[in-house]
Amino acid sequence: MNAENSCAIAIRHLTKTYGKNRGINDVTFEVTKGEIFGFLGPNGAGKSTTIRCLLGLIKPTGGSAEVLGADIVKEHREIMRYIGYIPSETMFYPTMKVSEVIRFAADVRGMDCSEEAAKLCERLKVDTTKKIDELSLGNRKKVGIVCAMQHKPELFIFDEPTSGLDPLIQAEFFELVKEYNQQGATCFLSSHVLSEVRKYCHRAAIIREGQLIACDTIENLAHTGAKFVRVEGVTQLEIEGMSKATQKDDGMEFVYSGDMNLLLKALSEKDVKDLSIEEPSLDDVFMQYYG
Amino acid sequence: MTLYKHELKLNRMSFVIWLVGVLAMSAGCIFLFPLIDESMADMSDAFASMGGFSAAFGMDKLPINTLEGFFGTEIGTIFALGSGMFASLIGISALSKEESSHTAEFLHTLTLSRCGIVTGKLLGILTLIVLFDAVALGVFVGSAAIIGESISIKCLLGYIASQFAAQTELASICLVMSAISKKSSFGLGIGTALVLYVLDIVARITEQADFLKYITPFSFSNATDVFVNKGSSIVCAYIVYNRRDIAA
Repeated sequence: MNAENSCAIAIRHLTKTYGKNRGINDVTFEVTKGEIFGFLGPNGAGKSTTIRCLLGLIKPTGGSAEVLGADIVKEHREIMRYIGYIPSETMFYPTMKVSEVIRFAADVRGMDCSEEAAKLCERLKVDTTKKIDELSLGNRKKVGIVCAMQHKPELFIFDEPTSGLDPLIQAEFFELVKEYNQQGATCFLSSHVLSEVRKYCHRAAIIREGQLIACDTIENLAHTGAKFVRVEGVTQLEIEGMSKATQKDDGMEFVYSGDMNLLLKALSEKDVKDLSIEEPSLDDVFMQYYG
Repeated sequence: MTLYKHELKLNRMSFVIWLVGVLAMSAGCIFLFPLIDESMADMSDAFASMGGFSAAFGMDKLPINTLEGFFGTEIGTIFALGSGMFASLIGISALSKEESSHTAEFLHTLTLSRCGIVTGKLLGILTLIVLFDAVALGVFVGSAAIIGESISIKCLLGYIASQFAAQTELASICLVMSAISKKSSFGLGIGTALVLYVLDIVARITEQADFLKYITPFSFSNATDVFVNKGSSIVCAYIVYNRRDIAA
């Protein structure tokens, strides 16, 4: 693929509608080569629709996208040679054995991936002798991870990859992602688990109701200028810039994004027993976007 | 080639069940023939003079008290329907089963183009039909030999060739439906074979419905028409499947 292009994924004004139903609308962002990029949003926000457009499973109704410098519509087959994909719900042919599915995925790619597949199966504790219809959701997901990683792709696209995996396998999965990333692979990871995005991703985009509402580094997303304020002794306060206010027994909590002098002036007129002003956690920021 | 082999593997159980079922019934009828041929001799004239009913099953052309006549009217019907239903089923499920069983995402995110997927499936279907007919030919000849009757190999080859044409057309019609549908509908496959078979009977009974023979693959009055229908169905399957969204 295009080695000079620094973008692993470039999405420009991508739109997908299903009849009158919303899919995604005018989504634009880029994923740089070599980064682990988080794609956040609640269920139904448009994460999977965006990913399915990138993979050529559905045709966009507007805009364009390039993966590794190639057009997703015109050069779909070429692109897929360099991608490893894990869908949110991993399904395989139920009558096949795990080993047969893994070999089939490699054979279609015209590659001998037996060595890498054996390594992955050992690390993820995949029993290759079992039939697919004997596997639990988590074990099917592990087979999906092996199929997506065994050919050592340049770009990983994961749609909620850890759902169904136990914590130990989740940790092993992210260890593998970090190792491939250190070898130069890019990872595009959709999730609604904020902790894993905060822990493993360099940058993230947030999508809500089909529209991109933020795209930045994790640090910048967490530093939106808003502060998390907890005040004891005051149960009623209304000033400009307050949001998400909740009443507590002995005070109140709220997110404040206005002028700090105004807040301090308003509080100085009250009987404040205790006050804490903190950077909001990433979770609070996301809740602010989602809300 | 990998997908082609994969398709054959996935369909092997269905292939064996239908092959054993259809050929057991057909061979069973051949083995019954020595027991009924004498009584059939008296009924042959009656069967041949029943007007539209005789025409519908071809009994006006072949005497039912010979193995070839019995084969053409009775066993041929069983085989045509059975093999037609099998061809329809593998056609209707070829593409849609990937979406209904949620394996489409896995298959489409490997390095296969949509045309490549249709081609792999199509070649798999054709191979299964050829194997089905080849085994059937052997079973028909073998069964006739076991009961000590001779059957014209030339006629049998002609019959199998016409059946192959009918089966491939049924499979290609169903392949288009499979390219359109996101759900694998076995009922639709069986129904298509049965409806087209009934249309063939209607076309044979009444001249007013003669045009139906150009619709149903069970009537082969004009080989050119059959070839055109099949070609357009397969092209439709490629076009439709290339354009539509794949369900998760």
